Amino acid sequence: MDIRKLRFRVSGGFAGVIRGTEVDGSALDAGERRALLAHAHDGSARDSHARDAQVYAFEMDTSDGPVRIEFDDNTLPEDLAALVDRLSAASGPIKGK
Amino acid sequence: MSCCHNPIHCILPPYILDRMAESDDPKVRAIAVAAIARSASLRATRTTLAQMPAMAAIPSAVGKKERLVYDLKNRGSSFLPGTLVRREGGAKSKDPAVNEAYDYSGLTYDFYLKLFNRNSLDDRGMTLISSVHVARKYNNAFWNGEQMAYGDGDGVIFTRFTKSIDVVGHELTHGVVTHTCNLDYKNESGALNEHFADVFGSLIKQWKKKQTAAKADWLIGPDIMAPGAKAKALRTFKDEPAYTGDPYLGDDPQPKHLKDKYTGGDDSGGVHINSGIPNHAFFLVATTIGGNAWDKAGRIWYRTMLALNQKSDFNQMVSMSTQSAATLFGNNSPEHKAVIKAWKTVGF
Repeated sequence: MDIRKLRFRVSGGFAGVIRGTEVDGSALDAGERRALLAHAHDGSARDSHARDAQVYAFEMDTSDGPVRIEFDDNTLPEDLAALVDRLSAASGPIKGK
Repeated sequence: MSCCHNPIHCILPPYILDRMAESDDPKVRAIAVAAIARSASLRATRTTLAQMPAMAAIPSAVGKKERLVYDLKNRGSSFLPGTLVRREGGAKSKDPAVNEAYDYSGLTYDFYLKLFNRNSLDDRGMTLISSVHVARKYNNAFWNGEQMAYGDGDGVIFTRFTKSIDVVGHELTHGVVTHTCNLDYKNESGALNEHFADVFGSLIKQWKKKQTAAKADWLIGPDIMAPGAKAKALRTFKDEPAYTGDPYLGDDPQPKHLKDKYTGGDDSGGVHINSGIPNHAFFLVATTIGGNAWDKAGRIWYRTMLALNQKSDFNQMVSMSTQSAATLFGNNSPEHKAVIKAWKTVGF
């Protein structure tokens, strides 16, 4: 499976701010691509007990069709943490959809 | 020591028990039926525990105010709680985040005890656990179902989240909600969960500062905004945006009227967005009644919080708060009328 486009959104948190960014698959390095594909079947992995945790959503256009995965502060896999930091820094405020 | 007096209750798999329950021997049938009932009860208990972390709360040894503050030393939340750095009655720390978490969780405990005779989050003396210095430059604070976790902020947009009484009161009130109506954290019930956290977070600050409803700022988070943020606060109960055109936050998305309700999927269905509607209604109730907001409006809202359930929506909130006002202050009392009028103003 090949990632053609990645849309990243972070929402929730105490602030309740929605921020996001979009990158081409070619802008991901091999490790980031590998980590995303390793979690492609995780779906929505959220901690149902957490309140005010930030929610990280990855929407990918892939060669196999659209894939959406979602984590929060308590469920974010370690191998996606660096990518979340990078994409969060590149994100700007966006309107909720 | 085993608590199981009959080994058949402990070791037989369900399919054998089912077969035994159909036995011709009444003694075997009775044993099997009792064992099945016990298994069902255990399963129900496990399911309830999974849905209600409240039931797994750590009671304080003394059944009264007990605070523990941990330092996570900038590690991620998977390492919670971290190293214990201050416990109840312990000496002040050199670290302001530790002292703020300790002092403001104590203030929150006192607020609920003195005003509502509530003994901690679970009303059974649950220990208040806080962890500070969560992750690096972490722009957030959260309640994980058992304890509070506070980031230091990045120093540009946000400073440390313990700095604000209303933030600490907000997070702890999520614990009170968990142990009372346990509102689902999505869509309207989630927005009500956020609403109660904002209301009591704000009331705790007003109570500490001895501010009347007329004097209060009705802002959430003004003390955690760092110099790089244009916004003066994260949310306001008033009918105005808390911020516009902030380079990091954008525009305040909170509606103050039902017609503007957010219907998208971000933020768990807009839990931090649509809380603006009941927040504004509460502000109208408190300022219409006048005096200290915690005295009357706070009591109406506390009673309402206890009466709602996991699936409650805005309409149930409206009817339950109206009913609570009538019960506490009388039908057609100024307080009852203030609640009816406030909900009408925001679209109900």
